[in-house]
Amino acid sequence: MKSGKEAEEHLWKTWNYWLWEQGFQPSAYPGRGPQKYINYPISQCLLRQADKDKLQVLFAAKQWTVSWDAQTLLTQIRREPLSHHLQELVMENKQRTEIVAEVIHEVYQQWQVQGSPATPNKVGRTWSRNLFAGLYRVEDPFFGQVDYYLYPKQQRGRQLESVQVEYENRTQTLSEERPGWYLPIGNPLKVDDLEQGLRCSVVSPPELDQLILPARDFWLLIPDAENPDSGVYASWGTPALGTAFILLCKRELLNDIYRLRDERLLEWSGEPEPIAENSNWVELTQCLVTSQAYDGVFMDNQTLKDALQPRVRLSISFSGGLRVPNQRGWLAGHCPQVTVFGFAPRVELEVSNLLNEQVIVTRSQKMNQPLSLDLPGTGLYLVRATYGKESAERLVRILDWNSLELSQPERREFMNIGDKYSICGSIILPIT
Amino acid sequence: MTNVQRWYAGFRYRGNVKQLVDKISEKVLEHDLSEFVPLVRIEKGAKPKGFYFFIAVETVQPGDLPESVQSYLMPLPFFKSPIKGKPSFSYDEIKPMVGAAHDVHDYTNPIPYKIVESDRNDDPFQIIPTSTEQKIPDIEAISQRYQQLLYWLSATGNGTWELFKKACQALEIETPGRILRRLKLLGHIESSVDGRRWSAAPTSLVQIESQSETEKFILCGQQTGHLLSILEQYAQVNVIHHSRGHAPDGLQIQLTDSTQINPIIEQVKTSLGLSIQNRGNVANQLAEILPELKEWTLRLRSLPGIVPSLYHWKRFESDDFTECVFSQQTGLYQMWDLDGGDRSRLTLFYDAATNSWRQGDWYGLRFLALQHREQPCIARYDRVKARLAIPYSQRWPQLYERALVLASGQLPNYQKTEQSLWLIYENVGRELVQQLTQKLQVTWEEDEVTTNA
Repeated sequence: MKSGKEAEEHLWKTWNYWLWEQGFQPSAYPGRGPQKYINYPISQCLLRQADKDKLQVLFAAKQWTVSWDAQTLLTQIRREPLSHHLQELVMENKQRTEIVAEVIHEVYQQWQVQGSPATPNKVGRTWSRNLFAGLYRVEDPFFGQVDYYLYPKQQRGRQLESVQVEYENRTQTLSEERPGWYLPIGNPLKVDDLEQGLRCSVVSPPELDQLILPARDFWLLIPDAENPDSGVYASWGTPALGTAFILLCKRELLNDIYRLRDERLLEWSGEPEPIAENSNWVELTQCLVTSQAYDGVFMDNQTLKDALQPRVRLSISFSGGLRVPNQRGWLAGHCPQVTVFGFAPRVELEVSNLLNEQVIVTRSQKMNQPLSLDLPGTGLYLVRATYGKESAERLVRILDWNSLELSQPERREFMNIGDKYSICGSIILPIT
Repeated sequence: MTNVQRWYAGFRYRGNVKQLVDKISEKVLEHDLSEFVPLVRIEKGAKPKGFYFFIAVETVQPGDLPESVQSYLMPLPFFKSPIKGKPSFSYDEIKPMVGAAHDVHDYTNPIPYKIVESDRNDDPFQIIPTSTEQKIPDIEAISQRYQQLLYWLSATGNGTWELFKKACQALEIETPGRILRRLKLLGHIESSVDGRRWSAAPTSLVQIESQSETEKFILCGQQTGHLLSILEQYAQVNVIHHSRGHAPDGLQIQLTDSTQINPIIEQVKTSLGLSIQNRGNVANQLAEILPELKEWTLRLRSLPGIVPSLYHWKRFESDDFTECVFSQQTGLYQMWDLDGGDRSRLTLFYDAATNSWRQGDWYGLRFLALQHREQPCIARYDRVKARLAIPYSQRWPQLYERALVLASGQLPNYQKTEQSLWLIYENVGRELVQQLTQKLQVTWEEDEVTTNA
């Protein structure tokens, strides 16, 4: 097999293309100069064995035996002196911050499962014995009542059959809601649950011990990227630039948060709302990180600063149009608007047809302003925004009306007719 | 890792504020200094005879100005009078000096912040009756947009009321509450009891009464253009436009023999992998199982915990809502926020007998209010043409009306007479009329003969 551009590079590009099509971030990147082709395979491995060993040494030296979640752990690590590669990974791997946090968290949990050894343990992969949970927030659209639910997260890369947990005095089976997450369970959480965290026993499988809701000082809740109009916010990750989110936090953090507003780094709407009467937890809605100049601002809660501080300078967002969520695209004649969010006055925008690489749009675009995409027809288009050395890319697929496929609803609505029957459209069924 | 800190350098200046801001901004941008000087704060109410201003500086050591700031910014005349004895301030220190609010000029190109107004008062059941005599410029073009909406709903499967509204907006379809109701009447979609979610209904063939030798079926539920083209290959498909074009076209399948239906269903399954359900005469089945009006009322969603004193109320009187003081009288009410607003929060039926607030489709609640006021509800039936006429002002609850619409697959036509406006339903059998009017306590006339239900 030949090497270099003629042979292997197109394989990496095909891999990136496949990832894009599946809705994931591309992961294969070339290096610079003589490292160009060597970097492609290296880019597929986030943590090398040497990195894992160094992390375990750090965990042991710091005696980090508590059950932190991934984001809290990453904040702690960022404060420590690290090797050049790890430093680059946790501070500058901008597109993949969350996945880096997850992978480091895996190493952390493995280290704990192995009894927190003082020296790196090189036995094979051992899975964590715990599942973690986040928050799932729903709001009554008419009366504004807000409820939070326990939202169990799946273990990355591990298929577990029939997970059952003991929660609220009964055994509850976890069912998948979407890749990476189980359906929310139980009744709305109480303030004490947020304050102290929760630990529920796992009934099965025996490889797991507990489902843990970590006791945190704050939660960032973002809208559903696949269905932003659902009104649901959950701890799916950190907000992308330009994405409004909800900050749920203890009152003690308000001083820090007001400081961020004073320094023009964070904005929100209205006053902090207590989530219950006399609650120590408040909600700030429609929060937006407005600036990246966090470096010089001192905050008591470093974890909050770390979670809010933007790691990227550009982000591409699509809005409007007529989107078909199940086919990951927009319908012809109803293309989305594209907005490049970032911290520069203008950005270079390029839109090209991914299949024939024909450039359709190339223009200097005002940052943070939506632009209507007038794409010539169906197909896959690559939108690339560039400012200086920074760039961001996103794929947009335009679908033909004739390519629409019927979708099995995740949930069918039925209206009861008396005690015995219910109806959905024209389908009358007996109530069982 | 070096720790950069944000601190403030303070100055006093006598002169033009705007000129100061413009010149500093120009230098910051020209020499790309925003990394070190992210913003400038000017004393609120600054006057030319003298004011304070502060530049935010980001360095490792407070008080140390970066070289580029020294070289490019400090030579400007505005920086001649630094505040003496204090090379650096914290933000908390300058706050009391200049007041909590002062003008800020940000050089970091911040992302503009816009508040998205909450649409909490948007009730999916709310339908405001409008003029029914609008001129429709191009029925086919309008109808096509509704067809596209049905295809999109079929491909999306399910979603929220918000998502439904956004799709209507993208397709330039107004009044989404009305189209949701029409799609339910046609058997294409169902929504949750609280109106927050919807799902497309399974694809089905519904048999309707035929006045000729042929057998007729209508297509309900999820569908695409591809499905239509397959059906057209195996059967005669009649496309029926609704009178005003405000709904997807009806698809009527005409067969010489009802035994032909199963092979067609098989063909669709083979071609598309889609199982179409043959549901028979749903209009009659539905009429059979629908409850009496009283029972239907009790099964409406009850909203507990409403404190009437927290809202303004308007009560439905004759044909409009008028302001009232809520005195626990049964009737149809609009709930308004105390601070006003341009539309009501909810429309609810209050049932004094059970002291409960009931939520349901708008026309259904209005029908209840009419019945409660003992207003005679009437209908007229033309047996020869199998048409039923109902006054527009007495439109039936959605589920009962669905039985009428599924009898033909067509929404009602509007017929204006000297006295009133009527809704005309086609292909309605006499037995269906008898069952539904009896359950709804509607008095109906057949030709010239009056029958009391």
